[in-house]
Amino acid sequence: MSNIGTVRGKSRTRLVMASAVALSAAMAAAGCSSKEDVGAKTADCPQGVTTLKVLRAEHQVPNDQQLDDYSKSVKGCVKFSVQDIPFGQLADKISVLAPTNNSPDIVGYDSPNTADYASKGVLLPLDSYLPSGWKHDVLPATLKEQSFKDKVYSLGVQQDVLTMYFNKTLTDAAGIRVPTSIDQAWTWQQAHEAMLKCQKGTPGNPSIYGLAPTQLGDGTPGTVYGDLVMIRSAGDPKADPNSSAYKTFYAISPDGKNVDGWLNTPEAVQAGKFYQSLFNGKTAVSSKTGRPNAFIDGKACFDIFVGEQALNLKKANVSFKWGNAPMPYIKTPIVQTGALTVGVMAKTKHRDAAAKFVVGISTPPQVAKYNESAIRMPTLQSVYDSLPRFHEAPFDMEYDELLKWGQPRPLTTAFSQYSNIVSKALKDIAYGSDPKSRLDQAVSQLQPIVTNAK
Amino acid sequence: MSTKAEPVPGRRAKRFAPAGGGRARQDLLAAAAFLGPFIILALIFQYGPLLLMVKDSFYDYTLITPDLKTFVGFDNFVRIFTDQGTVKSLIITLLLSVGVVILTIPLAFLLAMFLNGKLPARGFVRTMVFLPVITSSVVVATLWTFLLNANGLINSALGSVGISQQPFLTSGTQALPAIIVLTVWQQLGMATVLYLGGLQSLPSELMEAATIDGASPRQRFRYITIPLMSRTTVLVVVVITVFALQSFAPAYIMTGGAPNGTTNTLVYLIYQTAFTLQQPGYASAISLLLLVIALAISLVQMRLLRTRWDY
Repeated sequence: MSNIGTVRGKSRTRLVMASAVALSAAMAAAGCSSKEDVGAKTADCPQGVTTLKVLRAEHQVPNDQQLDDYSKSVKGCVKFSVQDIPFGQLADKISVLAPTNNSPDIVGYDSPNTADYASKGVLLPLDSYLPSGWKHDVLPATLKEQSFKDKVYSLGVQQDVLTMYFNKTLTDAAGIRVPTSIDQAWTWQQAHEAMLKCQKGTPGNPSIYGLAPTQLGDGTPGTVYGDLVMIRSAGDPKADPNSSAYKTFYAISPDGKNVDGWLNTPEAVQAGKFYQSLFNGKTAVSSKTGRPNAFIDGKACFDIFVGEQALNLKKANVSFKWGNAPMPYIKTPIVQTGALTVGVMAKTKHRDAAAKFVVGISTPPQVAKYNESAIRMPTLQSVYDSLPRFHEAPFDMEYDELLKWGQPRPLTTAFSQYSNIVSKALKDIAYGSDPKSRLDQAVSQLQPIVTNAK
Repeated sequence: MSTKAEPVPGRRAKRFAPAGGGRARQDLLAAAAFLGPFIILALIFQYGPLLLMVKDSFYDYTLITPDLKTFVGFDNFVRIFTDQGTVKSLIITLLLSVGVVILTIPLAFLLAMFLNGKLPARGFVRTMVFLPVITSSVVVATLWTFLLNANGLINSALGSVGISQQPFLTSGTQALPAIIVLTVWQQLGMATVLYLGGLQSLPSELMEAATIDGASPRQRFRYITIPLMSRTTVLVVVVITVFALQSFAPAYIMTGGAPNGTTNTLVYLIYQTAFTLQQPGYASAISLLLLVIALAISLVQMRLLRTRWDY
């Protein structure tokens, strides 16, 4: 009996040990597994089938259609493994993956981050792959935003531009004539008066908003893209470069190393006070907290949003008439450029294949196809010329804005930090903080970051 | 080398007693085999990162370029106490914890007393009370955003009785209390269940003796129930405090730390500092401070609330 017991005991111990080893091995395998990214050679693909890893924001570029079209154009020799993540987590994800050996080959990223990523060696310069004449065809603001130290890091397939949509049924009823060309654009004072006139109910809690709560960012006030533009419009690019008016317009020094005296100028503070009045007291025309679809639901007279809104309004088949007006301004008309774009990660093992893909989806026919289906503004003049849709209202005015008013968002290699800190300051101002002290606070937080940014 | 076994009564105890060198080794091997994978996991995913965090807190670098690290000694720790934003965040997190504990403990105790009685559908009520605990924090925060928004359900209800719209999430004086209420709502079930367990393990003889001695229900509650529940209270206070110190989802989803940083909890600040502001070294230092604070508060609470009773 004792022998049998010992044998059983040993068997049990071995079984337990084997199970533990198998469990550990399985866990290790799960954590360390990797796929081969170059497949077997075929007649069509003598170099083998290359699989490129793509990281992108959900429903954004490079979209499935672009990937499929490109794959077909190279006879299936390039395939894609796609990871979709929410837009709000995109920059964080890129930051975490960039230094690892698991970084993607292709990345769809927000173009104002180009300088940041390029300066840290995250992106691959694409100059040697640029099609001839591309630099003469692309919008100046796009070229500026997607370049760093004279090297191009992304070609871009789209540009977003803000305009002010209006519910024509409501504005007509209020006796308001809204301008629809950029030479007749309202100042913010005029726009605010129109919003107040059109609004119905108690300011702060109206039944019809003068200005719809924003759909940008998390749906609350303060985005750099949507709201800093008002502050910048209080500046003047034609003024003396040492003047506060000039500095207000750019909101950061040309070398990207200074925000003190650029972001907290007297003009910026004054604009901050006006911005605050849109959300507070008897002059309030909008809401501090989000209300999705207020404009589409017919609950707002005006709405500031990108061109995508035109598509949304058409899809929703809204019962009211609508149009869009150029962005209001305080002293100088301005819209900030930038959109999601596609780049190649510097760590890719397939530089050539990845770079050719980015160039492939950025050719005029491919860009035109994308712009037409997604209704996004083109980045190439030749594409704009070839698409009749963008020569008609409301898109013709949007393109005019881009071409004549377009400015990149503040160019700095610390854009994500800039965006985060300034957004919080603007949100606090909208919520009631003193504009001067809050802008000063943002500057004191941001200055060491931009000073030390490489 | 033989191990002398102490006589242990009971069949089950005998089975695991070290009967001899071979048996003891077998048992050790079996224990190691069962525990090994999980110790390895804990080392890789808990203690390893903890050590890395300690190391990183002495460096300045960005997530994108981790190879370009600069050793800064204790600079990150000094900065914690000189950076107004971080100090404010620390104070706010402590206020949040205090508020949550102060509200949760009496409410959970009373709710547990209530649920300890003979209620119809007691199981259902307990489930309802516990449901928020097992609901994702993200879902809870999103739900409460809809409730507390300017056009939310609560403001609509207030409006219907003539009370003006309240800026629950946008006012410097209301946003933190709103998050405290949300956290209490979410954690009340956990505290209640812990108290309920404590109440049900109270020895009935004491209550009976006190009743025979003429103690009123209030006296029994004051002099028997509360003192005997002190051990459970220690556990509840520590658990709820640590949970409140780790608050992240409400700040991330509901307020973004606004207005003016009044809801900028420490864990949200750590997240922002590491990922958005690209200062993981500084974020590691704040994380280390949070760990020390959580440990210190727990130890102090356990010391102060140390039970003088046993049963």
